[in-house]
Amino acid sequence: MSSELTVDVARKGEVTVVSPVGRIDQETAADFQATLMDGIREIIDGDGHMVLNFAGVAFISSLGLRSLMIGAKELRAADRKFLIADLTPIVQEVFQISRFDRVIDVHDTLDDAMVALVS
Amino acid sequence: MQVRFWGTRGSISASLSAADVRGKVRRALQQALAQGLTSADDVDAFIDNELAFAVAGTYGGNTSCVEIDAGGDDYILCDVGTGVREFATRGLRKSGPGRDPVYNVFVSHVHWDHIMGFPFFIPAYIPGAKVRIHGCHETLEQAFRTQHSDPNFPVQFDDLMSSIEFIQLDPDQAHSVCGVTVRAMKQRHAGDSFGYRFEKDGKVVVYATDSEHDLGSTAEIDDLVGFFADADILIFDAMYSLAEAVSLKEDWGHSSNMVGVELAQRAGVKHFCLFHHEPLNDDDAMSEIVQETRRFAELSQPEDTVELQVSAAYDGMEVVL
Repeated sequence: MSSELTVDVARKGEVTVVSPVGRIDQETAADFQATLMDGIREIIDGDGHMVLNFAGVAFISSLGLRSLMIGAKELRAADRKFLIADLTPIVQEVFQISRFDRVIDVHDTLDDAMVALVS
Repeated sequence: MQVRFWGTRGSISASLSAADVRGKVRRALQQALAQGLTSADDVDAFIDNELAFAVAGTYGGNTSCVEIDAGGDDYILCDVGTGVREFATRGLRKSGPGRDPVYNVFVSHVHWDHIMGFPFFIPAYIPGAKVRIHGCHETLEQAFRTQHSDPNFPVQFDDLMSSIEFIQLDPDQAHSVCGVTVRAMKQRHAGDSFGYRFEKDGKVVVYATDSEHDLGSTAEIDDLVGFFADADILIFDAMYSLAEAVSLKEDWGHSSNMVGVELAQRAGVKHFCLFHHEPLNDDDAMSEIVQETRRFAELSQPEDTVELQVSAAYDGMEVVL
């Protein structure tokens, strides 16, 4: 089970969409967090919100989830939104087990998340 | 070696209420009605094989106390929370006429829930009984003496009739007690706590409660993996969900089931045992957490590794290694 992760970052209007593909675990979480925080700093220095498109995430470990919490806290402190969309079934299970589904704003699809930002 | 759990609850003892017991009885009877049970043996088999543990039993409510039975004539206990009263009532197999066991206590730290059972530890009151309290904190003796003083408790520490010795441990050195090699490791907790690794005849028990883990610190995680390495059982503080541990309850000094599973898998642990249960969690919640933890262990299991056994400690549980 080798860990590979690519992270695409795109700007859609006021929204930064971060799309990781692969496993976010002990081996990849540090790079993922660095990319995430770069995007968050740009938002805080400028404007907008962040949506994470998780359609391509096969697994996330505790260290990866911690990165999400750090990112969510940063944006909430700046009165910006941090949403996650399109969890794969296994990641959805991990969110339930970790109770992250109770503390992070999760949406079924990327479109749902984008709509939630403007509503 | 054998491990016996006399107290498994975190922070404060948590008793079942009359309503809790009624709820269990009701669920058991509802299931039993459909079974057509006719004999006592049928009833026992039904309880043991059909009823869920959360219905037929309970995880218990006593605070931390775990016995490590390494054979021999003496006792080893980890912490003396309220569970030590049960140990002193039901667990004194090596005591009695003509026997002179030493009661060795290893204290993770001196927060109240880990020492509050000592005033009800009967051997402490028996003339000639030998109690050795081992720990790494300079405040070890002071904490026990303060608890046994006005206005906290009517019996003063110096009036206890046993022979009580405090033994300061150096966490950087191995110690030998009852033929068991014991190592301590400093843990992240308010005022520090210490985990203990017990080794004898190739068997390893690690008692690691009241510890939070900095997932971002590679050095800290590597040290933990080394301390837990190849343990036959890892008794682990999994009080909070991961979400709690990294948000609202960050820096509260406790860990989660998920972090424990990941550390155990990296360390090659055989049996991962949830411990220091959140007192807010009832038996159904605990059973759900056990199932979820087993599932997470499946999801996170590294390739070419042996499946991790996962359980939740309960008061009265025995594990033979």
